[in-house]
Amino acid sequence: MPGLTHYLSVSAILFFLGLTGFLSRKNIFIMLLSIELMLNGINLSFVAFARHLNQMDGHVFVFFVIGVAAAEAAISLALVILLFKNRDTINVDDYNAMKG
Amino acid sequence: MTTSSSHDAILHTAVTLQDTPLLPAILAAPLLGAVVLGLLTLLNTRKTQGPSEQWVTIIACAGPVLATLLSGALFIQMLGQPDLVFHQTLFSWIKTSSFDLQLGLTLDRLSGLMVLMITFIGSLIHVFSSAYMHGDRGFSRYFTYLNLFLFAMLMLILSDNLVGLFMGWEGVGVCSFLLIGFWFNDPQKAAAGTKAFVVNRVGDFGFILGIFLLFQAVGAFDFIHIQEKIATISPLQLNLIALLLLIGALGKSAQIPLHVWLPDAMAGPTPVSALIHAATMVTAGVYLISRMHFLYDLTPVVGALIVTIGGLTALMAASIALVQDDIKKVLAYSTVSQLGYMFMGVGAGAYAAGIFHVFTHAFFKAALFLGAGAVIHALHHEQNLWKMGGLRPLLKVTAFAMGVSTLAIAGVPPFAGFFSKDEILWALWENHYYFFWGVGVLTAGLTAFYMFRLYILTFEGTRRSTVEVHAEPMAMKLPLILLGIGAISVGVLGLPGTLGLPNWISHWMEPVFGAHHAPDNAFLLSLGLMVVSLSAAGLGIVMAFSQFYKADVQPPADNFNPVTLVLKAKYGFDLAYSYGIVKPLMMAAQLHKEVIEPMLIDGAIVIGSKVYYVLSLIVRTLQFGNVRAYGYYMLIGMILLACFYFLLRQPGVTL
Amino acid sequence: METTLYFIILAAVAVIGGLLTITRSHPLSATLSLVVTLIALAGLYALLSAEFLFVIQILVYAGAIMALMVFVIMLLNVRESSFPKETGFEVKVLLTFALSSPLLLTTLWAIHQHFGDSTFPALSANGFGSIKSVGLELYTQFFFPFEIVSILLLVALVGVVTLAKRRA
Repeated sequence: MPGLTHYLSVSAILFFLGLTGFLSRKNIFIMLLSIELMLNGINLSFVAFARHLNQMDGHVFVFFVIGVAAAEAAISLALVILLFKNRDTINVDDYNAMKG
Repeated sequence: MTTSSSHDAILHTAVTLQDTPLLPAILAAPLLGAVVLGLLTLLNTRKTQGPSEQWVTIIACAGPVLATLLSGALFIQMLGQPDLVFHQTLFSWIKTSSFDLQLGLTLDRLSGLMVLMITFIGSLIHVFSSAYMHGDRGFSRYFTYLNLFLFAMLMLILSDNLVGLFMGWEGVGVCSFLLIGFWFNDPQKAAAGTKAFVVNRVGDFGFILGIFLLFQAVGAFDFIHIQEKIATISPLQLNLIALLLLIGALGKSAQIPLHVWLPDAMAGPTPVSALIHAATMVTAGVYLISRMHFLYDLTPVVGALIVTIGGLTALMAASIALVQDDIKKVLAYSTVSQLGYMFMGVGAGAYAAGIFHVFTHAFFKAALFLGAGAVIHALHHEQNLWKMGGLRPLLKVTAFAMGVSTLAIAGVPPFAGFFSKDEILWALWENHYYFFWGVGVLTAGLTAFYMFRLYILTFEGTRRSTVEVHAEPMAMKLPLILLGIGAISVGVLGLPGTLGLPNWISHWMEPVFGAHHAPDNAFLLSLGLMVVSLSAAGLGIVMAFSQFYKADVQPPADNFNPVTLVLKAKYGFDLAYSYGIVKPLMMAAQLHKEVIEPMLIDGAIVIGSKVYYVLSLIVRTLQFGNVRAYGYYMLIGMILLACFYFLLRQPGVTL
Repeated sequence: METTLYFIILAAVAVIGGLLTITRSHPLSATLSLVVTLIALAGLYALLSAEFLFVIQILVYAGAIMALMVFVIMLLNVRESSFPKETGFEVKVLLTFALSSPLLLTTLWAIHQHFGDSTFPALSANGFGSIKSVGLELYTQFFFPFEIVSILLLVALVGVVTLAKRRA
């Protein structure tokens, strides 16, 4: 029987995969996907803990995270569209107008 | 002098307060006029022509006339009932847990007399102004200010607490500033307005400190509560409060050392000088001291100081007036001198006498100023006495009004000034201020001299100017005649009680100031003192006639007689203030501007900004402008937090 | 026993999907890999008796959000040539993963240390994870945050419209 430990391990691995993707890729779409991956890793741990503690609060949190993720995805994609129209590139390294 | 306990008995057992909506109406009438005229003025600022003068005159005069009628109606009701006090609470202005400031109006016998006088003379001066200001581009603006002034003055008089009084006090100050600098295109006139405002601020500073201190001591602003608790204040604090309130009164009533603004205030239109700087606003100081009589009754030391200041001011101003050549300047110094008289009166505890002099002075000084205005108007804005002369046949009404007013101010019976002046002199003698009685008599002589000098040089002799003279229009004649009649007759309200005659004013004021009975054996003494002061006045008149009543009177050659020089320099007050206060302040400001500000303040800021710039050069290299770099920063932060967490879990590590 | 099997399969699919997500060069294949991960996660939620989230994960996450992603990628129609030059990014991914692996290993170790072989308790009988019970939670205890989230979505909606309307 898989226990809390296993679920949490999967969750941690997913999170670190997302982190790695975010830090090493230059394609802005893949970076956004990495963020989604991290969010889902966390969601899994929420659900696992909810099951572990036999309380529903974790589910509600996941629900909220999904809501926020939807908003975030919409906004960020709109920004990407604008960025691409302005800069004609999806390479984040080229978005360096804020360089100090 | 009466004791405070008798006041309490009078004020708190006998007074019946009666609410009346007429009191706010008295205030509202001129305020409404000011608002309407102000809007009219604003609507017409960009046009070359102002609003129609006829309409403006009607609107402007309606408010004061209405206020006169209303206050007259209330006054008549008070006639037979000595214990009647009108009162109306307007609204609760500031409400906290510890106190509740109710803005209220009250009309007792003191404020009743003042309000009647102010609205009556104010109405006359409004009428006069409509002729005097004819054709001025600022016609409607002028009447806006004048109506606003009347509102503020009535607020000052009618308020039942010190805060409302202070609001009115500041309101009249602002209107005075606006009207002195009415022709602000002339930098000298604008500067005169500023000077009046600044000097008044010095006085107001003392005044407001006094109010604060009084509130701290008794926890109330309204006069009734202050009077109830006045006995609980320690003598030192009481004297300090009296002194601070006195500073305010000195500023508003142009007494030494804050008198310097009033002569300069003559830069405004002449009817303004008549209304604000002679009849009403400048007497606010006297009113304040009379209103706070229960306070000054308990502080005889401050009373003596008031007498001293008043006496010095009276003598000083009268002597300066001897050498002035400008008709308005003579009247201005004469006003300062008469205000000194009033201060002597209230300082000696003779509040009724002081207020009586305020009352009579308002009539004859308003007549004098309006007469001067008519003369100036007739001579196309010529103000030099030596360029007038021989005007009596041409300006009969003006000559009449100014003539009787000159007799009144000189103290010739039975004209108004004689009785009020004599009341004050008698009060001084009675309270053992013999020296200041002498000062008063000397001042009376000087007053008679310079006023007759003014009258003779203006109306008698031969004409020394060639300009065509306008006759006075009807709107000027009417106020002059009414005020002239007042100058003749209002003295009968205060016949000397020491001679066994009925003193109506003193009797009228009894509910406010307490009863005051003349000693029985004073008949001969007071008659003797009267003869002395009369002969001083007569001497002054005779000297004036012998010196100036001739066909070919010439201005005195420039002599360097030290006395004349001192008088021409106005005892050097302006010079002393200029070198003692203004110039050092300017130098200090210059020092700050040239040295301290650029070096110390700017320098520190510049150095600080340089430091930040250098630091930012280092820090900004961390900002790659690369999203992934920021991701790495977050990762590093996470690792550090994790390390920190594990560190905290180690045994023996605590935050 | 079959629960363990399902878990292993689903977990493996999720992890492999995640790995593929960050190693595809074309964003479209990466998105589809993420969809695989999300569906596998939905399965894991089902294993954890979270019926409601199982539905939501598939409907909203894998369905709506990822569809939006795909739409945008296709809408932009970025040419292959204008992709960022990422020669040898696999090595970089590996390096970064290696760099952050101490943290991962620490986390896994901590999880193991803390929870060890704990097994899930028996479910309480009141419909754990059902739509009804989540709804009850949402509309009673979490009513205020729930409303806030709806306002957030509204704001996002308005913001997106504003951004998209802007001329480049």
